[in-house]
Amino acid sequence: MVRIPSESPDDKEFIAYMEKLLQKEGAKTCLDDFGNLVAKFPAKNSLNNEPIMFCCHGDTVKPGIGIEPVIEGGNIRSKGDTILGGDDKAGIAEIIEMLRSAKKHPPIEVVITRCEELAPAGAEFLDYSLIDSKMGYVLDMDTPSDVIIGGPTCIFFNVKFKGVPAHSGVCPEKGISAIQVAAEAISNLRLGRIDHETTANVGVIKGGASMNVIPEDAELAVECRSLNNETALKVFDEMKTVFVNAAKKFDAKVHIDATTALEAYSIPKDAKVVQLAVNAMKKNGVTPDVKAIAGGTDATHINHKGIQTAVLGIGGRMMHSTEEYVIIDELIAITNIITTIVEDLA
Amino acid sequence: MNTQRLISTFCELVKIPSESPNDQEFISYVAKFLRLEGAKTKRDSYGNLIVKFPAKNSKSKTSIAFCCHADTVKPGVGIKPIVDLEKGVIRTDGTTILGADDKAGIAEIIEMIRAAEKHPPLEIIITRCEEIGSLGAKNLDFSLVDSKRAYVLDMDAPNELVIGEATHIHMDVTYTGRAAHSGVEPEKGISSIQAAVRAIYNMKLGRIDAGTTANVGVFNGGEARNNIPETTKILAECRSLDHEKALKISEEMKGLFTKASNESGTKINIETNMVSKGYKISADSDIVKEFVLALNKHNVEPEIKVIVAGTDASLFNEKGVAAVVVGIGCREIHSKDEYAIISEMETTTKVLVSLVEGLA
Repeated sequence: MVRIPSESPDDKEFIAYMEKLLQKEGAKTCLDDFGNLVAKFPAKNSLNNEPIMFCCHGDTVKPGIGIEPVIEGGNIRSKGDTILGGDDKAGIAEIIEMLRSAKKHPPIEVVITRCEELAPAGAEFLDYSLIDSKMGYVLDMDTPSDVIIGGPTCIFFNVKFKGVPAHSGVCPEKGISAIQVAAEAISNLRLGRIDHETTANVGVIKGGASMNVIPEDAELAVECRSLNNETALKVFDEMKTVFVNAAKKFDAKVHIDATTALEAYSIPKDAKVVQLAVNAMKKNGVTPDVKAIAGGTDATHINHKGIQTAVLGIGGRMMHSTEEYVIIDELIAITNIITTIVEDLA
Repeated sequence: MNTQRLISTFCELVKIPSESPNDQEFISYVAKFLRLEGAKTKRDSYGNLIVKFPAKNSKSKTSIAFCCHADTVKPGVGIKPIVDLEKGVIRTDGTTILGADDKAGIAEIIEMIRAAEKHPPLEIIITRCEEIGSLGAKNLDFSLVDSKRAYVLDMDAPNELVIGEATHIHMDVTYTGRAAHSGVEPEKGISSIQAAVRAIYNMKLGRIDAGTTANVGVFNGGEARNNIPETTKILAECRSLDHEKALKISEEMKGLFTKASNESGTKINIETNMVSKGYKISADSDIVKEFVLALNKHNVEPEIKVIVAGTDASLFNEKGVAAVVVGIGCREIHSKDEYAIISEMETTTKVLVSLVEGLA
């Protein structure tokens, strides 16, 4: 699978390959309008007709063309100057092996999304009317012990201050320094770790063009995140007020352009989807690490659509780099864990 | 003086491109031109041109110098000067600068030499790379210069007479903090942007007093929204007509930059560069009085002033050659709208002729 390139957004060929492969394994498949793949496997040796979903993304980051996997010392890495593509194809391989080796299972829906690495976009545009499951797993974390039950609200915003340019040596009194306005604002912000589940950052500033001009423009790339949606909104409002007040103080203009890239979700620890995974891990000798994370996965969107979904590991490391590798023992462990999950549900 | 000859010399000069630093070919051309006028020419090791004319109809042995820079800003290749006699200006077709800055001055000096009936020994100094930080004047071999006073031709209008300039100090500041994922483990990072704003927040910027200014002109930090920014770069400057004050302000700014670094746990690197050292020439000195006299002969009321920008004159003064800056008759310099005013070029030439004849 990793030999078939699927750099986002050019992942449709790989999805077509997956569709054929899953059909051969006995699935009924369909593609939604965005090109996401939904494959349905009937129950096996089970009367349970409640389906469960497993989801991976089909795309990879770059450089992901011409990947040559090499097996070495219990790991699989790429031969050349490419990523391995274990993120997220290790997960797909584990799901296929689970389907083949499980002695019994309820109906299973396998979802392969497009363009997760870009937004995540595929899961955002997924046609949820095609999916019957009420719970599921996204396979997209590192280690077999990972059970992710929460993700943050992320508010990304760009702040543009506009002052007035003037020659800094001749007539500085005619200018308004956008850099000074930005400095005033940033000095008054709470940044870094705000509480145990909330952070804020000014990641980029670009201000001014020339040493001898009072800088007219300053642009900031800012974010705040919280596992608590209310807190994220509150912190964002607080930051916005600081930016607006700084502009007012210096008589500069400010423009704030915000997008909520992700909205927080949280699954209770005693939810069935969590307990199934925890029990399966224990049966396979793995100590579960149940936690929330500060980043987004497809699970963020899927949970908001009413499918209670936890994120599990795939056995990969150094993802998004040419050093990426997967650990064969962990591939096996995860396959065993998800096999146990579906057998327990049968 | 001959206006037609002045205009044709000027047009000839601006047609030869000399965008800094590619101004050596133009300098060779000027050297050849002036040798034909009877001068001895020399190039110093940096490529600056030093030209010497002996005294003419004069027993004076005290030489005076005139200085122009050879280079132009961009776009300065393929300049087609258009002489508009109706409007009395010389301009371009709008695709390039004109290059009157500073070639109008060179043309006027040449016409002055041709027209003056008498003059003391003259030195003409054509410097390289003025537009990119007075590099020519900085590297000028002053042992080749005999004059104790110089007129730098590099202002706009003929009545301008600059007798003082500011000390100008550049500061190039880099903060290095520590990167970390801003959502996962911000406590492991140190934000270089936060360190820098702490310094800027406490800094007095803009107009500090009548002769002193300070500015943070460029502030770039960080690479990604979701990363604690590791590196931030700042370009700052201060200027003062009072040299000591410029030094004091720059020390204060450096102190604030460094304090912010210490308090935030970031590393800091500050590179300071004195772009030009200020000077102030007395309004009573001969170099000023003689020029005012020449201006008055042609009914020009002088505008004697100090400026904050650096010209080659600050380097001359630093090296012990008293220098003032005078106008050449150009406007809108450093733009494609640049133009020269023919009547002002005539005025400057006449004033220069009166000046050297008066010193003969």
